[in-house]
Amino acid sequence: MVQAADTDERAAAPGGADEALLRAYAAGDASAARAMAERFGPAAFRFALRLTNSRADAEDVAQEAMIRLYRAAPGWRPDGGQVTSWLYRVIANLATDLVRRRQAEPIEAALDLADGAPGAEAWLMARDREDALSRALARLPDRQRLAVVLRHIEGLTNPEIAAIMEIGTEAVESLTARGKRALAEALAGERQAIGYAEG
Amino acid sequence: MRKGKGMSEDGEFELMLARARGDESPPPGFVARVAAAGAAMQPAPEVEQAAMAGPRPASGFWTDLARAIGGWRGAGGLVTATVAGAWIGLADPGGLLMSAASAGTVELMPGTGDMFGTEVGD
Repeated sequence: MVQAADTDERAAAPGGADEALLRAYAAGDASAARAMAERFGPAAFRFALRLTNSRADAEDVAQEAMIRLYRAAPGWRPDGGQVTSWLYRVIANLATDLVRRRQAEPIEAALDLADGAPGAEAWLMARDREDALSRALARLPDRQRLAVVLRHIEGLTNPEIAAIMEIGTEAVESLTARGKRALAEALAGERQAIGYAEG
Repeated sequence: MRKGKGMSEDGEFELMLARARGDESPPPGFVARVAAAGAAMQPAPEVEQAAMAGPRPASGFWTDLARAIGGWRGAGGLVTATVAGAWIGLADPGGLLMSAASAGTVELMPGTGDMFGTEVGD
């Protein structure tokens, strides 16, 4: 059972519980697939959403990343890095590819209106302020956006981000600083565009 | 004041980032769909895998030899070929090579034409 695996010594180490869960899944534990989905799924979706700026795309990306995690579980090596770092890296790659493909598509396809919305115009107006950040993020270069999301929204440390992006911590610091500055400028433009200051 | 405005914008910026943290839950059914996909591709439990694999095959000289000649089917073919060869040898295959070289038909067992109730013509 998963609970038994959680008592393993390595479960006490950072990421140890995650690896124990993967081992339980690989061993055929019937509850492990659900436990993995609950543990990693919501965070995977949220991270993908910040990178794609689309709930439908985020769902696709997060689901594909989770399927890759399930597939990788039987061959998972404990010294191969943290599970969450691996998952974030997969999501970042999938989302980057998807965003690049989307940029080549007509703008209507990128609007991604949710099913059951009370009409495109009303939905867009209601979401304007919340979407200001997403739109500003979308304007950043890929690597800056990734670094800013990981640092300021996901709350990861610089070494964790460095592991995910496979760069040095100094490069992470530089990317997050430049990204945050660019994001603030983009948000200032968004505020003017949607009348945020008056709201 | 420039400094005051900067602090205000920073605060607003931080507020937006904070609002973005954890307030985007996945769509209904997302976790269940992911879990179902994971369950569908999950390896079988180790006990079941061992049971499906069955007992470990024996090993040894005769087992290795039988495996080398293709198992019981290969051994059966080998025995048939051996018996057929012995039969041909006992039934006097004289003239066999000469017949094969000079005629279109080959009489494998001369003098035993009516053994099976058939007449072998010349």
